Amino acid sequence: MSDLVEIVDPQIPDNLSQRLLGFVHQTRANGFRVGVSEQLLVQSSIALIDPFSERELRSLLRLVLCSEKRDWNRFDELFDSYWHSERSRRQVKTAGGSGNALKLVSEKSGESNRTASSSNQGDANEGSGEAEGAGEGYQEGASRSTSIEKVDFGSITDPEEMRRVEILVERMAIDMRRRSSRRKKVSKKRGAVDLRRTLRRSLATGGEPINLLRKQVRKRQPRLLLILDVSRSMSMYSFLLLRFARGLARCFRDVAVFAFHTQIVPITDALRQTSLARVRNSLSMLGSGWSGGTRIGDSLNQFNERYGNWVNSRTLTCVVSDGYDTGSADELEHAMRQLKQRGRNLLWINPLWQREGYSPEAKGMRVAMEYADQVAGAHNLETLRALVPHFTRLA
Amino acid sequence: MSHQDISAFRTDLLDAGYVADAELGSALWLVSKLERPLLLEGDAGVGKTEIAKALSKVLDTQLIRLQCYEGLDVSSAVYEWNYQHQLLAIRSQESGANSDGAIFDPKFLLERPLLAAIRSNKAPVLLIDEIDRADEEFEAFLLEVLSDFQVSIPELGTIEAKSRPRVILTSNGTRQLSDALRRRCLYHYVDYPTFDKELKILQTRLPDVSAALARQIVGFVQDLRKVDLVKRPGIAETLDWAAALLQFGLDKLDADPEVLRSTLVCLLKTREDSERLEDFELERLVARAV
Repeated sequence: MSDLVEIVDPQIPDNLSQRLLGFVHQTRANGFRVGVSEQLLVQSSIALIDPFSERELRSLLRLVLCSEKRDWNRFDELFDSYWHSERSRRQVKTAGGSGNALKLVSEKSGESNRTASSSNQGDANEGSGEAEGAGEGYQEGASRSTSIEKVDFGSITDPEEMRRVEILVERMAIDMRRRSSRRKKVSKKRGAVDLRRTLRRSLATGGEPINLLRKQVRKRQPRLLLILDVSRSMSMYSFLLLRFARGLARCFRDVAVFAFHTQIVPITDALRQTSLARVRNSLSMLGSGWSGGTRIGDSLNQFNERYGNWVNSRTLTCVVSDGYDTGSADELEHAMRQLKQRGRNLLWINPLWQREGYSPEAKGMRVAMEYADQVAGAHNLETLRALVPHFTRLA
Repeated sequence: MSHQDISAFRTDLLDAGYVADAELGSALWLVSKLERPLLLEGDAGVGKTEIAKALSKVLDTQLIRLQCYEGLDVSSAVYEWNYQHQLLAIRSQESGANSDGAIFDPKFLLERPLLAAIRSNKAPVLLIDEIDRADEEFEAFLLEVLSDFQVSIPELGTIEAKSRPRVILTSNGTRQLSDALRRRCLYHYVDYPTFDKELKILQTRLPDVSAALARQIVGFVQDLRKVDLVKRPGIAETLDWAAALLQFGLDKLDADPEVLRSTLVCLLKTREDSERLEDFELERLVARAV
């Protein structure tokens, strides 16, 4: 609250100014990217319109306060609940959409939610500063690294331990950011002639461009496509791998994440939510399908049809699945061929891959081995760490 | 007072050939008052680029367009030195024909869209098209330009804007834009038009289409958008299709199914889509529209 400045324009009635301020806070509490400058813009531009015309006020506020489609779609609901709710008209600070279909978060109830959830064992450090929690867990984990490194994720039963591992996994993914952003140096022998530099250099040789300098296209982080299998056979690993995916989604600038069981669902936006509780909520749209049967080929074909155009020659495609498919192998083959043709690199992660006593007998896995550029495992921290080079390679 | 301003502005837009709903009309009006960039998002073909063109017509000013693509860099977006010219100048100086020593002179400067927008005398409309295709690095650079409206050229110094361009950015959402850029911009989401709006657009753009056929066309396209397609047809497609029907001399959609099928190339742009729309489905849509 304190970082939002109150500016009172003498032209605008006092209470309107207050109400506007309240509304700006309200949108911010609902995840809009609203800062001081938007606040100032609202206050200064209100004079341009007739503030008592609801239509004009609505379109001005929408224009200034929204910054993406999600905001755009929720705006009307927020606007109505704030300006039309009887309760909020009396008291600005407690304005909130109670009993609203969207469950809009008002500032106060947001606060109490947080305190409530931190007393709750489950997601203790999700709501309040997750970064702190993660940092703590990381240090602790490092000192115990030898023991925890090789433990199979599937055999962890202690929820405390699981949480520590989850944090470690996400950290590991986020750490890749630092490594992958290192750029290769510009080559002097290959690539197109850089006229600007050549000419500058030529001043030293009396205007004779003797040394040609060249520039090469910089290598950059590839585009990342993650497709996660969340069927029952994967249930031991899927939440953990989801954390890994969330970490990856944070360190890749160009990323899309999908989940499937019998249908493909985009989950990139859901993963971008700040609190893990919210991530889980958003993922509940996968509904009954979560941990249900698997149709890998079918789902991947669906992906190719609907979102295939997103995959380009710079894309690292990564499918996370154990290959247990109830659909036909032909379908899967068709899908894999397309995925491989479209993208740059096709990586298949099978959590069971390096587990002792595992042999790839599922027919889905045979197809995967045929088409994937690499197959890798991910059943404990050690194998997960071995994945890092795959994700830090530049394209 | 302002209300009249906005509706007058919408009428101007209509005269410029653009049908804007109340929301977009007031958004554009505010953009010209608030001097902030406007970020337009929406599916391909909903008329985002047209908005900038119409705005430049209404304001009677130049439209400068910067088409973004992967690998777009400063030398093709802002400025470039004319090296060939510079080399020749060096030669002629050596032979003593010209003793004016500066080769980093504004006369050797090639203006690219951003510099052109900053240097023009009357505030132009600067359209930065498909910003999501540019790299993040370029986006960061753009932020600097959009907040200060000045460009630094090491050899010449800082060039400040003579007038503040009205900036319109468009995005198809192939990539997440940075929060910093979003926060710097006003935002408007352009959706597919409603029946009435699309009808109005069609009649404004193609007055030759009869009223009855126009209603059928728009009805058909509106229903077609609800079918599960890979690429939903935009307004541009509707207009193309209407023009095609006009060429074939069809006055009703159900007049000649075969010709109708052959004109669908204007609406369905992928093989999957034209396969998906089977004959009975097509008949159903036609029947609904007629």
